[in-house]
Amino acid sequence: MDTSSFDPTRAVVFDLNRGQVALSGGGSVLLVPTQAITELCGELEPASVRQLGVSFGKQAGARVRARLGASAVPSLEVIVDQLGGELALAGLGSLAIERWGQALVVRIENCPLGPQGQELMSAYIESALYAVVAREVIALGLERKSQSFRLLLCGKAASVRVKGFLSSGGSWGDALVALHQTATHDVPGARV
Amino acid sequence: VASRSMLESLLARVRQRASEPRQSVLSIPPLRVPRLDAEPPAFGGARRAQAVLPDEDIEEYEDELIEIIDEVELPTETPPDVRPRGVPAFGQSAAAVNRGTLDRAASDRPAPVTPHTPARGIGAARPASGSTITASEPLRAEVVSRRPISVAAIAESQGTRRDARTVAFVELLDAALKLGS
Repeated sequence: MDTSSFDPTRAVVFDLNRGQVALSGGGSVLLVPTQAITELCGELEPASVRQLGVSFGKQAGARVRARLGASAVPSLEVIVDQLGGELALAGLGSLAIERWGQALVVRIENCPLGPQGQELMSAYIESALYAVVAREVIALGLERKSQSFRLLLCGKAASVRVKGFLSSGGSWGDALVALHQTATHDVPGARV
Repeated sequence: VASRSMLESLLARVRQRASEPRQSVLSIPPLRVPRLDAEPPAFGGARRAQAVLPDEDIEEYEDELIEIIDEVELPTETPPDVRPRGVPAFGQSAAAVNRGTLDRAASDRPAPVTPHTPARGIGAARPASGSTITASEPLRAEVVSRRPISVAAIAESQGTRRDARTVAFVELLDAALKLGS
């Protein structure tokens, strides 16, 4: 059976004598109650919440990049393993990536932050992917439930179109269909 | 005392009777079903018919006849059904089987050899029309194979889709970023 390429061995080190908690390959961290972060996300401005998420994601992406190596061309499976491992290690939920035609959708489940944490998680994914593959990506919220999100990985033009579609009452599925109607048909991952 | 000429005449009659065909011992005499509406037969009618038979003369000189008959070679009649009869495994004609009884003369003969007639086995083939196979017809196999499938467009695809998990993430991400642009 295939196992994840993410190795969590000694990923978190508790130095009880010094009163420190550290992540392997990274600096010290704080164990903060989930409720505190949730309330913070509800109180702060969206830009501030995003800044918090960028900080989280940037460090996570840097650790993933350090493990993979600078010259590596990771596959989709490796990205899901590594980035999902970081997300799980932080207690932010489980990550999966869906492929809807040409579109890539990040699905995060069991996120303890609730709906208030969507902005934080969007910023987390954007900054983490920038650190790993050096691509500027917008993680646009498609679907938000009590403990799960769907974030579309898209560019700036596509995010504007999808936002307009969703604000007019369209479903996120129809938004993806509409997005493909103007796209070219050179589908990656398909050999002719 | 019987004279010799009388005995010789009796011997001649015995030989004549011996040469006459007799009913087989193993055969079952036909049953008579009496009719209810028929008149009962008169008593002694059958006995009177038997009384006129000349067998009375034979009984009279029974002892002498036994001695004479022992000296004479009489044609022996062997029951035909007690002889061993082989049952042919192959070659028995279908007509004989369909009749329900074996023709005795035909069964005593050796089974006809028909090398060109195919045996009715798994590999044997018969024409679809059901006509009988003659000896001159060559043996051929009847193969039932799958009929060809007509060419029809079941589905159309732009290509074979690879498993996404093995594709480079950057390749997939760059394609996703092109959407809507």
